[in-house]
Amino acid sequence: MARRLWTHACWSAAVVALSATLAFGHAVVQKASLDEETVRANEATRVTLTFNSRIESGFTKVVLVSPHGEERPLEIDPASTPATVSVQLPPLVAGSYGLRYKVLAVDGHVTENMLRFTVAPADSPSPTQ
Amino acid sequence: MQGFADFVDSLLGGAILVALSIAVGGVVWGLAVLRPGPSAEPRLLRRAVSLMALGAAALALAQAALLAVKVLLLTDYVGPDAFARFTATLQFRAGAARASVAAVLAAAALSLRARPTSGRRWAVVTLLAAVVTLTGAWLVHAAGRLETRATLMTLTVLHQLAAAVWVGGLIQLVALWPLARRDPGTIAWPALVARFSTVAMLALLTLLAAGLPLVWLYVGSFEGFIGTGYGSLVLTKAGLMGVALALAALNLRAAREGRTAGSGTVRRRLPYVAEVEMILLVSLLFVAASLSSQPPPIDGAGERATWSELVEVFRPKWPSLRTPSVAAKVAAATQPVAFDAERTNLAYSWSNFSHNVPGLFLLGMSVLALAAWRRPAWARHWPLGLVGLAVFIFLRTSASEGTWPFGPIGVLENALANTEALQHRIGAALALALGLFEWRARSAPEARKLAYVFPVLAAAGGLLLLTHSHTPFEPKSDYLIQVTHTVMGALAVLMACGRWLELRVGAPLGRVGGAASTVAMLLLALVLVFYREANVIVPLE
Repeated sequence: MARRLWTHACWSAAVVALSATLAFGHAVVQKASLDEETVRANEATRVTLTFNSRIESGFTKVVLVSPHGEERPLEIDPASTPATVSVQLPPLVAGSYGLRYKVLAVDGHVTENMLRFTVAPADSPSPTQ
Repeated sequence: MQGFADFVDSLLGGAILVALSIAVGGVVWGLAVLRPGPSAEPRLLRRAVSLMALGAAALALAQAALLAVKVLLLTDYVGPDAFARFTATLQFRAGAARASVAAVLAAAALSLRARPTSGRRWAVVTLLAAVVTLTGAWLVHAAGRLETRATLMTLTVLHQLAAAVWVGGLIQLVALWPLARRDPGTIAWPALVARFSTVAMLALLTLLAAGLPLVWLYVGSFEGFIGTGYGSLVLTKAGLMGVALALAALNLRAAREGRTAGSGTVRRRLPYVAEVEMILLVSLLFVAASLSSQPPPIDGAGERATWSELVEVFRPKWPSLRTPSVAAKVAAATQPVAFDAERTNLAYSWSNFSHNVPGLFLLGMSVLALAAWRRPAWARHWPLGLVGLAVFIFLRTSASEGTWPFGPIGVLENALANTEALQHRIGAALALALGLFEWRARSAPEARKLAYVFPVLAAAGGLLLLTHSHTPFEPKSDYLIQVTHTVMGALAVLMACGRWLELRVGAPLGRVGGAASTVAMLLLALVLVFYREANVIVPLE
């Protein structure tokens, strides 16, 4: 009886283990400074995106999308690390914006996504007050 | 372009894994099963080495093609200097190294074929196969990880190697059977099968040893399994692997019985069950490649579906028999769409009808196929339902895309510019071919060989569904759509395997295969009939 249970357990484990991936891809944003800091109108703001894996810095593109859909490329901060990308947002008027990024992960997969954020009026209270 | 590149990436990725299996698995097959030496049969060695050379050449070509696709994609977004910049990346260097070493391995294998018992040439081939395998460590996601990088790379390479030994050896075994059947006196088939069984068991244990920690490190939770695209593909792999293991157990039993004189299953049944096992494992390699386009759940990216949301996807529901008009669809397609616009009720209704009606087609065919077991002559014509389905898919796609006969855009032009449209066109073509060939095979005894077209195309269709437009971030709504395609893809592969078994093996196992194939088609039909996009209930107007 114990031997049969052990055999069944081994086969079950085999089925699960054999389902393990051979390769996994795409760099995705694990943390964005936009989630922790409020972007205020008329103030330049540094934004940092932290990815789950290393990315090839030479292929990183970040574009600011205005509420009307106009796109403006942003310069990548040279101090960005292999897994982070930093850009400087110019002073903006209050409204809803998008930050579209495109990166090449070290595993060769290109990832593109858009982070949406809101620029708060300059005189609005900060969340901690 | 991104969607097309991801689709081609999955297909080429699968082709690379299959080619790697044939090349590297062939080396282990040669050394451990055929055992090159003075007493080895040269014919068998030459056959094995020829296949090994073919695998290595295919690996070199597929790897080079993958790099070329990546350059095209990168040129699309960084400009004409993309190639120069790409050559500085790890992906290019490792990929180019693998392609180069694979090409040298192919040449070395051809040299070995001229002297298949040469120990020195086997040593060269073995070394090159080892290098080809090791280059894989820098081509997988683990190479980009920030923590436990070396451990993950090592485990991934071990996992790939074990899979290659198993799948490659199985391919060699299936390729050897025609020769062994013609010459039973010279080729000790039962002994070779027994040796391969041992090799396969060791490969299985290595897969287990490398796989368990990978699952833990990359999935990490029940929610990760059931709520993400990555997790659904892992579970699909588990399901297909379970069926493959059941077939492997049958073969293992036949191999052990084959050691005793008088046992015929090792000749009558094992070679054909091995063919089905091979189809399943090759399909699994394509699923593995499709997995590579997904971020692992452990990184917490994207929304996750809950268990109740997943159950709702497959819960029995009445099909939608009302559809927006083509004019309304075309009018909606011409409207400008804001970048954060939500999907409209019209779009949901259109999609639901587009899936429910094909489900009814397949349901009807499944009922007729089940009736055909009682041998009414008219039920044999059930495959003609696939021709009707093909016409429906073609017209529905044309209406959705505004192509002929519903709009001025050319069918081919649209298919090349839109990955999803291309996949639907291929699906229509597959359904048409499936229907015509299978109907002919069942209605004309002299055309029985045409029956093999159905399982081949069904497996191809299954792989198409399994690699169907996965997005890396998959908002939950997209995941709830993709999970149905993943399940249908797996069922299509099982349908193909059941039919192949029915064609190749006599009763009772052959009849079990046939029944399983019909049941798989019925389940696939029900997934489509119950389909409701992203679980959204569209109000009746």
